[in-house]
Amino acid sequence: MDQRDEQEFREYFQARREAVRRSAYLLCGDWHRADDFAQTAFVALHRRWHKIRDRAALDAYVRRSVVRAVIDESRRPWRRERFTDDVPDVADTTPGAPDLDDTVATRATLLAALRKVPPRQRAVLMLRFLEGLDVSAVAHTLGCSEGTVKSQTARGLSALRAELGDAIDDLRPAS
Amino acid sequence: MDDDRLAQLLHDAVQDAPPATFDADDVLTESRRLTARRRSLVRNTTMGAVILVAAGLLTGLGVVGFGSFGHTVSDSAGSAAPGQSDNPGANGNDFHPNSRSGSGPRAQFNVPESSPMQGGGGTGKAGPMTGGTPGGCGSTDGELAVALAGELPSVGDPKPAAVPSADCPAATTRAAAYSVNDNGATGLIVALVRPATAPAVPATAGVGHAVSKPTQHNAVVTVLSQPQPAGGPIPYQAMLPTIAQDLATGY
Repeated sequence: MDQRDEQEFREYFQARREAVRRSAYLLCGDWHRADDFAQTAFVALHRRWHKIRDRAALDAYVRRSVVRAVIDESRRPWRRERFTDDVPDVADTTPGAPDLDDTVATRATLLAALRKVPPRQRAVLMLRFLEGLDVSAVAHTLGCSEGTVKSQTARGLSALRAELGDAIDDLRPAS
Repeated sequence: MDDDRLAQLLHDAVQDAPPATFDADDVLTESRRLTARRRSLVRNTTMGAVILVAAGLLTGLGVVGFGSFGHTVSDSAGSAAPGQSDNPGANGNDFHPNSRSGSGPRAQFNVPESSPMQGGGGTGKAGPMTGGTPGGCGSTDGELAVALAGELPSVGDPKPAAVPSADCPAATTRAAAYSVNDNGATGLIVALVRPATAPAVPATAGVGHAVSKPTQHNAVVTVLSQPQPAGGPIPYQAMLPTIAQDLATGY
């Protein structure tokens, strides 16, 4: 990799690191492991940098790497997924801000429920609703059909609803 | 289900991220370390293959093993993928680890396209690299081996392996294989590069599983998972589409 390529990679890394970390965290529920997955994905990207130049392809490659790494690890029985509750250091005290306890409780509840969603469905939910990708983009990222993405989305949402029950009112089906 | 509300909740759930534990320098350092390690792996693979061929030639095993399966080794001029250079003057009996083509005598075999992927090195006594058949099936492509190694989880401790002749169909221009252990599911992961015009490799045949993805340069990458022993669980079956798609970006 020449100097210009390296500089471009660094710029891309700076622009995307936090987003990739957050996606990985949503998939695994632990910031330390999320950083491991994110770093692994960026390392893989760096090694293929000269072959992937389109920006959209870069994002898809990194997302796919993270998803694959998380799913790969989840298939190993001796590695149990660990979800930890991360409490923010500073409370939001602005008027009208949600009560800190409610925020933490909602977050913990959601993350615990996500843990119960099968890894691949969880990945689809992350790509659809955290990363905001459409069905086609998710299908391209995961290397599957759009029909599979739709069915995985439906199953993932159903599984999430089943785990959440009435814990988070807003997520109940409209009818 | 309110999609917007779910999206908002998910965004809220990941907002309070602690400082990252890695930076760009960490990524670059690790990348360079892995690249150096893969190059060493390929060198060892190449040397191992040369030793295998030399041993086969010395003991006179020749090409006996290929006859039972049938492999059509295509003419190099018609099958070389774009970007590959011919290796003119290569003798058909020589072993060239990274050659994609060559002149000289070649063994011609017949193979029905529906033939199953069979395990191991075939029924012959010779391994697939014995005899040094030129072209993709007769050698491990170093670049493809490195790329494939990068796709496989390191947890399974993948090891370079010879590409079984039965898994190397007609017109293959590049081939590489690793023996893997996917949480007890052992076998071979084989990567092949073939021209887009070559007959397709069936998705499931025999006891293996194959996924093919087109490339941007009129070629097709096929990734095969072949359980060993035959009939066992198929290693990394769910990962094959992703591996094939990632490899396809490079060809």
